[in-house]
Amino acid sequence: MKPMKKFSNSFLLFSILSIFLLLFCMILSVSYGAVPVAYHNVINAIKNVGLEEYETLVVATRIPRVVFGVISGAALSISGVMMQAITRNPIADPSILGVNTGASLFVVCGMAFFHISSSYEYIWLAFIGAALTAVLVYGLAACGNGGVTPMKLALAGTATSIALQSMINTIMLPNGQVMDSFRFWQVGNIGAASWDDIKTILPYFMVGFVLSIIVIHPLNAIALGDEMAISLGINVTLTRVLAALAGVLLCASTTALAGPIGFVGLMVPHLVRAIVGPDLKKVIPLSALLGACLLLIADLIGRIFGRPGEIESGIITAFLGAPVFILIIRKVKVQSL
Amino acid sequence: MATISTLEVTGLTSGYHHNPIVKEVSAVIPKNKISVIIGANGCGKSTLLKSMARLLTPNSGAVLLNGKKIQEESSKHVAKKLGLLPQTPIVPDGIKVSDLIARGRFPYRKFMQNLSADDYKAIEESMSMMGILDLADKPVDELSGGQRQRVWIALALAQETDILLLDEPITYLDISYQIEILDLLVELNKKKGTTICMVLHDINLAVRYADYLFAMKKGKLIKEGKPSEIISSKLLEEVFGLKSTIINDPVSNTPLIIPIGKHLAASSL
Amino acid sequence: MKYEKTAILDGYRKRNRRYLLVCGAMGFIILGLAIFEMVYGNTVYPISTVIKALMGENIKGASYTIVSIRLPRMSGGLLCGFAFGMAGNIFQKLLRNPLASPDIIGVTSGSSVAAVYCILVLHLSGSIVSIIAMLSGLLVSAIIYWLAQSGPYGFSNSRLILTGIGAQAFLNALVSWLLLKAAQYDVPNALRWLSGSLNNVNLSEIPRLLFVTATVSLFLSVFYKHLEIIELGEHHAITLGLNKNAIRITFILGALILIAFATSISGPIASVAFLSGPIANKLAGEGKSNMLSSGLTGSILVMASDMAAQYAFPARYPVGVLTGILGAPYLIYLLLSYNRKGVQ
Repeated sequence: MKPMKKFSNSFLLFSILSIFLLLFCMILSVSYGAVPVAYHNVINAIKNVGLEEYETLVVATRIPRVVFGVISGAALSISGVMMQAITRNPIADPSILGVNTGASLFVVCGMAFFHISSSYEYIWLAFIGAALTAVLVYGLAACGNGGVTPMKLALAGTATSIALQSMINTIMLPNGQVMDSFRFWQVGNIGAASWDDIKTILPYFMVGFVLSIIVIHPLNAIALGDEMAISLGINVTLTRVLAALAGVLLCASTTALAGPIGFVGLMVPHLVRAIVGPDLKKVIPLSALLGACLLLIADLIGRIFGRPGEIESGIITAFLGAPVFILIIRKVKVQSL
Repeated sequence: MATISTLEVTGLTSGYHHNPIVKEVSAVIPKNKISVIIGANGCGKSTLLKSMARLLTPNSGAVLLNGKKIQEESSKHVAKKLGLLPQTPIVPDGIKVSDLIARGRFPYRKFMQNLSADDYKAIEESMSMMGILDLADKPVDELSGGQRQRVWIALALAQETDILLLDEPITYLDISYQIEILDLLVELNKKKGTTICMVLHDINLAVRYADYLFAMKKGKLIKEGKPSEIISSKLLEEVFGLKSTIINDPVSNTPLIIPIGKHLAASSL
Repeated sequence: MKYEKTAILDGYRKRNRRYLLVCGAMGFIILGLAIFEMVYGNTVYPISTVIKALMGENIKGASYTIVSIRLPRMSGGLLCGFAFGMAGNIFQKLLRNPLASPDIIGVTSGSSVAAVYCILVLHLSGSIVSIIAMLSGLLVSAIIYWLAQSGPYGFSNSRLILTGIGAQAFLNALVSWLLLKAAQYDVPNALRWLSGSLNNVNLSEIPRLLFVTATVSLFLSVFYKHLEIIELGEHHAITLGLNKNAIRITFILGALILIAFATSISGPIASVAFLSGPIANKLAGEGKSNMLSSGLTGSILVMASDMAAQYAFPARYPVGVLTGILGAPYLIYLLLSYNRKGVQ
């Protein structure tokens, strides 16, 4: 039992470290920006006093952004964990699977044909688009011999994205106004979130988080293969459906509000698994913590390097995530691709 | 056929990514015979076969075809002497049987030219030998496992090589197809004198069909010779870690291996 | 010596005849489309006028439309379609996957980034954008190929595809960012380029495109037998005496040049590269290299889609939007047909 003990110790250690890191990122994120702010004003803003002072007001507007960053970072990485567990595939991620494009297509349709502009309505469109695309892509990848390999999954996702992107263009090109609002939505950004937005989508996040916690145990069994899971008395189909629901819900809620933010769900779980091993009981909480950190850091980097404006966090995560993705690919043996 | 080519390996060390799996193996593949490489999983039998077929480059030592290093010969020249049936060949979508077999003629075909009379003859001969002439215009992906394996062997035959290497040719087949394929290989060996060397998992089928056996363990060749001369319970214990008793196979008059197993070990002793 | 037995010969002959027949028919369709494109438009000119204008006769009003607008559009569509179709088929055979297309090894995203940068930031236009886009496309694919083969476990098809997809994500983020920073009136211009369009094809670019497409595709067709062998997998390729590395590089490089040149003229016309091969396979017979037939299919796809995108809808669309949408039903078809096979 000795190695087990060591394992849980390192898990504890990393959890504590991640919590500190997250707190640090949150403070940095609140106080840093186009207008530098003194720390006492930050504290005032958190206490919700002295709002008449300009600097405090600045900070107060940053707080929803940070809160949203924490929630959506956690949501995106758990969503990645879910998709990877369902497909038993290390590269499943909303951006690779083309799920983001699916959500985008539905949102564009909403913008163009139904003149939708509230996040409450976006979320349902994004959710339906994401869910349908996820099913289509997974089905495509399951075609042919050899089951769902990372290569087939990625190819199916890319091919689907291309087709869906064309549909988006069809709707957008003749319509200058939609094109303009969409090109801002299309790049993921957590900066625009308001308290109202957060309140609107919080229930969806909660359902997603709860679902993903419920399926931890059966998903761990599915990691051993479907047959093994069935013989352990697990309802494989139900587990998959619930996990997929959780994954899509979490990613679609974020996408609806912030636009597509890729690669968080790929990078974070991969790193976490390398530290604490494959047990989802440890992977999920740690991924949530580190995912939140990553998104805040990406947002910060965007603010630092994009001055006087800012670079959207969705772009930063792609810049960070794509090289990590390629690094993962390089280190994997051919057989498992 | 002018001369029957010879194949041998000398001091061969080979494997993946500089991690040798076959270590210092020297062997001469007997001419005009069927030889089988046996050994436990991971002992390097497939690696040895792949090295002989040029799929792997030796780390040291050499594979000699007619006394010349195989890596230094022109690749088309070698392709006319030495054929291989890989373990998991890839079927292009929708291809017809005769089109697939025609691809075995690649080493003989001239630049920018259609199939020649020689090509047609070789294709038809190999198909009739494998008994698949009536499947000529069928798509390969609609065939059964046994038929498909015959198509692949026919492709290797159309290559008209003196030596044919096969990597576990019967692994995923039903027992009746296993025997059918092995019988076809014997026929090929008898009729054309083709030297056959293969890796087989089933030790009893290996013993029955082989003229010559190579036994490997942990990357080394530990014993070789005719089955009747080298098969003993001591060898099996050494190669597979398996307790067994050897009797005479009443059908083929070759050794037949009866594994003992843990539960019966006490009562049989 | 003549080979007399007919047991297997009939099958070969039949399949060869079918191939030639299908290619011939495709040629006729292309000819028809070409004539239609020259004749039809906002003003319909009789064929005699078109011929006169092409012969250099100066007909008031007609000459400019026919020679400077319709001719480059038609020939651009024909050549780019051919290049995309042929290159796409080569990649699918080479990488043994019906979803593989040259886009995935980054040539398209590489070109797009450079083109968008030129249009939005440097405010360039015309052939200089094309040339920079082409060079950047080739450079990016070279980097992706290098990344895919320099890792600790060496080259594999899957690694190339996955590396390409990762790199694409990176480059697409760059494109989105550039689009975001751009002034609103510049965006449609860049976006049209990104979705592939024949609107800006210039007559002066056609000879260059023709020369490259013709020489490269002729050169590659010579190696059709080699492509058939590579399709059987690495092991068979070695066994049959093929110099697989040299052949693989030749095909990849050739296909990339085709794609890069075509992209630099028309922008990435989506899905043509991955639709042409399978359509040609179905029509002209599976189990062949189908080099010529997939090129012709590409031409037909682009020319027909371009006409439809111009005149069939209330708004005029760039051709790439229409072909991109064609990709969706194909994906669904692929899904259904494989599932049917699975049931059997």
